[in-house]
Amino acid sequence: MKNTLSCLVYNRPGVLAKIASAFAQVGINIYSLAAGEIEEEDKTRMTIVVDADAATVKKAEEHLSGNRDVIRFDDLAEDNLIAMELILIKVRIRPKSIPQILQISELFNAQVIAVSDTAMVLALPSDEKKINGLVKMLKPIGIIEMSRSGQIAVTSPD
Amino acid sequence: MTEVLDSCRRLQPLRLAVSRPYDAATLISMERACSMGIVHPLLVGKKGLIVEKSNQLDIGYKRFEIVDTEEDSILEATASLFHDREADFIMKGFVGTGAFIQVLLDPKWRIRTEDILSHVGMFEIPHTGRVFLMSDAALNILPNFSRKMEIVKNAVHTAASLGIRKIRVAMLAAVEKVKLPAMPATRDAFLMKKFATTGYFGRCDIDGPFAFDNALDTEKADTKGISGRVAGRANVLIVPNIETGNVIWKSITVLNQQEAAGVVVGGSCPIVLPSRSDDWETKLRSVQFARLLLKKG
Repeated sequence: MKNTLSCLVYNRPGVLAKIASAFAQVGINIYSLAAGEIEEEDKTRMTIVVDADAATVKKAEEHLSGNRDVIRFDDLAEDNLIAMELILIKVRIRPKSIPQILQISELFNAQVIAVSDTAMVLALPSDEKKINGLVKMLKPIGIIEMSRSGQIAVTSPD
Repeated sequence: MTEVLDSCRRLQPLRLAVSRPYDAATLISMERACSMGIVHPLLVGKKGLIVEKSNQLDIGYKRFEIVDTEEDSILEATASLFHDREADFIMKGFVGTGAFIQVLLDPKWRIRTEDILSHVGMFEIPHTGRVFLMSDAALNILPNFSRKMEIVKNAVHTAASLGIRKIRVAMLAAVEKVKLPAMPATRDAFLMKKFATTGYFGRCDIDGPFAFDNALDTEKADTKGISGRVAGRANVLIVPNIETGNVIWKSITVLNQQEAAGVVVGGSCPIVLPSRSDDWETKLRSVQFARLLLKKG
């Protein structure tokens, strides 16, 4: 099962390796990982989506509990989560497929951020389901390249 | 432009249903159109008002057919004249565009077709005699790419109906290069040019994005190094949204005091849809434009 973890750490070399190692020790597979500075520049929030049950996640948390680089580790409950990821997707342009690509982009509220004679790049910040839907619709048209940011998340406002 | 529009004098008069022709500009335009022999007006509204206004203007109302109608059913009565084949085309008189179009869009009148309705304006470039069409300055507010495809299709069809042989369509924007995400009109213009290679629009050249001047003026296009079959020689302009179209239209007619004509196309008949503030000449030009598109007789 998928769990979304939020890990607040000090922005220092080797921190990511330590977290990855703790996960590996308890057999957790990382599905996606996104990291970025928070409002305090020396700290980074990692949003990690893992394929593991709550008990296994708890074990990983215990492994990290003594680590001075880890400030906070939360298993975010799905109903208390505001989550989003970003996809950049480059699709092949053939004259006949142009209206279809633009219709799909409108349907998903994706933005066309670049065009050339042969390709178009769409961007969509959204939830996983919607992003998967966009990919599914564009696949038959011809995806040249795509990149997903991995999920980022914060807890819902009180 | 006069030469193009006046060619409708060669055609037989057709029946034009006009709703609420209570203003001077509409009545004078009808009188002139009658004198030119291009229409037989069916004036739909309160007979007393039409007669009174005609008398004030010293217009012989007896040459018009007046369809005496109560105020609240004038628009429906106008549409039903077309539906019952008693009128060949329709014109808006002293009534708001929204209310007028809303009634006409009702499928029961069979004015709508599977095509979208769009507005096409006709103008002349001063001192050159060159005529160009522009769409859409009146109906489609912020068209997406699919809708722009249909606007282009209607405009190209209109140009072909007017007998324009080399149809050169310029997709307008503010600049000639694609700028994203700031200027989505440049993206649509660029992609429309590519899409046109499928042959969807028939025989015409489509290019873009163009700024207004580089679409119409070869010297300005040359100065900027913009080449191609459309640059500087466009005869159909497609604006990205209604604001752009409206501002261009009003700049030409108000600041430059140039003539204009406008018709709604894409329906079973052309619809003359002047602004209530248009003068009689613009209204007459628009009637001539519509008559040319009907091509009967």
